[in-house]
Amino acid sequence: MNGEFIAFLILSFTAILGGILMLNLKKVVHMLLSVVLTFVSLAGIYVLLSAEFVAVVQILIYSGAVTIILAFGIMLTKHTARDERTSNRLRAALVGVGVLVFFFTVYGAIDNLFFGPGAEGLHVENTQQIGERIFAHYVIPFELVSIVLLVALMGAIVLARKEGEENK
Amino acid sequence: MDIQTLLSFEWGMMAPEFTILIVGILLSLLDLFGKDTWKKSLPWLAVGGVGVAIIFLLFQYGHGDISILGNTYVFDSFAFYFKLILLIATLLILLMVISRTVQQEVRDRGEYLYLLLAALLGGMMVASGGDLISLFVGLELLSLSSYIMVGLRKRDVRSSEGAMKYLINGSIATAFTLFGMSYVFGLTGSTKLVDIAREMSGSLGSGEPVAIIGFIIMFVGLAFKISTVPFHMWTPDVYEGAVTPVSAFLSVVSKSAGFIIIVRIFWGIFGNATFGGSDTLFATMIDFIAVLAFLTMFIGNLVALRQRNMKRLLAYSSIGHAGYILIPLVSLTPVSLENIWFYLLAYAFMTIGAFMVIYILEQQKQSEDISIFTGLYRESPALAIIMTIFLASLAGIPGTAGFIGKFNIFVGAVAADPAQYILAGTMAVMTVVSYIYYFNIMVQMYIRKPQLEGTTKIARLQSVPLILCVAGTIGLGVFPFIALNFFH
Amino acid sequence: MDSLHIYQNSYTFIVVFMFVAILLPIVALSAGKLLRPHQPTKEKMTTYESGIEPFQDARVQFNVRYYLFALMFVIFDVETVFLYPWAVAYEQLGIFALIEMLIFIVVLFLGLVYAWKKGVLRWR
Repeated sequence: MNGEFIAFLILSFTAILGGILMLNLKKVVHMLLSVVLTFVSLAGIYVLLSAEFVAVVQILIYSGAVTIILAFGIMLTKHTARDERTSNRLRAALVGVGVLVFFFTVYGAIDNLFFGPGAEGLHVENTQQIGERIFAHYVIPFELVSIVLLVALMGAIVLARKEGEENK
Repeated sequence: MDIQTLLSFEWGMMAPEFTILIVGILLSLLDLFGKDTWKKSLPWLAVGGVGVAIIFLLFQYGHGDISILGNTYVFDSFAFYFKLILLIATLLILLMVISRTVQQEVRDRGEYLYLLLAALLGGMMVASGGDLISLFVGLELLSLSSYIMVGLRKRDVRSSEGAMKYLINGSIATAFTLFGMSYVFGLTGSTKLVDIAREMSGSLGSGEPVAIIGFIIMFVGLAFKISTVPFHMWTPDVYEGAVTPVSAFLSVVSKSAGFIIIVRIFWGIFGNATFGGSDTLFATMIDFIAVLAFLTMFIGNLVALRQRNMKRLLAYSSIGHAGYILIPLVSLTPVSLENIWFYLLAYAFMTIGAFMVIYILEQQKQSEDISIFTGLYRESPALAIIMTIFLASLAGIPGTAGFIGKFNIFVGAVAADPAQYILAGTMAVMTVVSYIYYFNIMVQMYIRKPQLEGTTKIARLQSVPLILCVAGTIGLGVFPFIALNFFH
Repeated sequence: MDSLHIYQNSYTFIVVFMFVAILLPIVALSAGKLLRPHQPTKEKMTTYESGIEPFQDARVQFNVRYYLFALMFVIFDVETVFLYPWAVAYEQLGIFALIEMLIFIVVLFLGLVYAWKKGVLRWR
């Protein structure tokens, strides 16, 4: 039981807690905050895995930008209607069984899994390593990502723009 | 790496992709800055672009395998043949878009074109991806463009509903796919398909269960894309909500891309992975896919019996067809790939043709109900006969492309080792079931009297995609060996 | 392995800071509550003691334009993320990295032009 393991336990616990709270809380803003809890905990797990850059991106994009989008979404919509929950015992039980089965399957699969020696030196110049991989090796997917972002931007504009506003 | 190594790759092999990319960007620029008089000819530019891409691709026929930048882009015969299907189908769909006579409520017509091309680019990258990352980015480009195209008919509630369902289902599917990929990556330490296959061909040892979990999760994620039961719920709503050409696109191009990525990943990676010392991992997981194929054929065709909305009917029929195409994936014979390819090609022609007829009638009668076909033979004999050809092909009547496709798959399933008698039998029975709903449309066309006065005319532009689809359906049905020889 | 431990231990500071940041408001507020006199009257309990009576719901529906700005912010934010590793690794990469990034930025600039022409950036 070393510090890394304790940190992992705490972080994964808060990540799962955020997810469960998100599903069970009644008010939208509270749901939003619990999602942020999950995002931040995930960033912590990335740090543990020596993925410093990804951790910072996680904070920047998810805890920052995506949360803002969600907050805007809440501000734009009405919330007079409350979340009427029809509790279905059978469905809850089935979902519970499903989760348990999945947990034990995966646990059984990884219980005595041996990966061999892990990669070393991932944390050294982490951002630079990523940059070299992206811009020397994954050039084609990277340029394709720009098209993906462009399509997302156009789609957002086309779908969210009010009808009847022409480009003049 | 320096600039010399970068230039040493055969970038010319990416000419079809570059053409689509450049034409797409050009279209968006012209749409933004061009005069209104030019905008009418934008669809023709898109058609020209896809045509040029097809020509570039055909020049690559018989070219040896190449890979660019560590397999992030590969060209092999597999990529060539399946990219051809994607390009031909998109060309037909663009012709369908052009043929529109009635001004619909979709204002952003330019967006359609470049979103279609962006989606096509994504599909082509999927066909040419030799690395999980390129495959994933290509698939995402295809999916994102599709979500937006479904939602473009903003004033229609059904369109918004369809887009919402598609987006949520698609996001879950993406999450599944990525999660499964992460298992495979964790097990092998590489995203390159070749490296993964090599790592897995050795003894997996204690990694076997993890490989199986990765397999199942990834397959479930990709099964959404080809809408197999039980991951098909979104399909009818989305097809109904989208504009008809987009429905045709989802039904043909998007589904083909799904099959392409499934074949690429599952045969490529797991087809070599040894399991339990003797069999390949894919061979041990065949039963899992076989159950999906069985359910898909069964439920798709049975639910189609109850549909009255033509687009929903074709949606369920396309689910049934997805089940048929899963059979050669399961029955491993040397001709399996050829059967999948031929069926997808035949499916492209007949489905786009059927959607085209619906599109023509839908514009004239402002309805999608099956009653648009009532008495069609008296109103327009030509259109009725054309629709009959497509229906016959979808049902699998001899003399059409659909028959040859189904026959090949059936023979392949029986000849495989182990023979898939149950699947072959289900396919035969479900084909008969499908006769009921296809022939119901024919009954409407020939026996019933028209409810509305007036004749249905086919405009000149509308005849172009119709003729091409009829030619494809009949041509592949009568001379299938032309396509099959081309494949070898 | 030693350098990995140094790397991970350096995050102990962040954890300490996090705890301090969480504890500070909790301690300050609860200390204040313990120290201050507690004599509520009805007037003091109102939202604005010497202001206008609040009316309506505090949440109002915002213009959809805000949302478009937020969406564009996210997309360009993601673009910026790609600039960091590029800038850090630029020394090792050379001229072709510049070309790659130029293509990337030009494509996304097209998105900005699109938004501009569609009148998203104008407030009416």
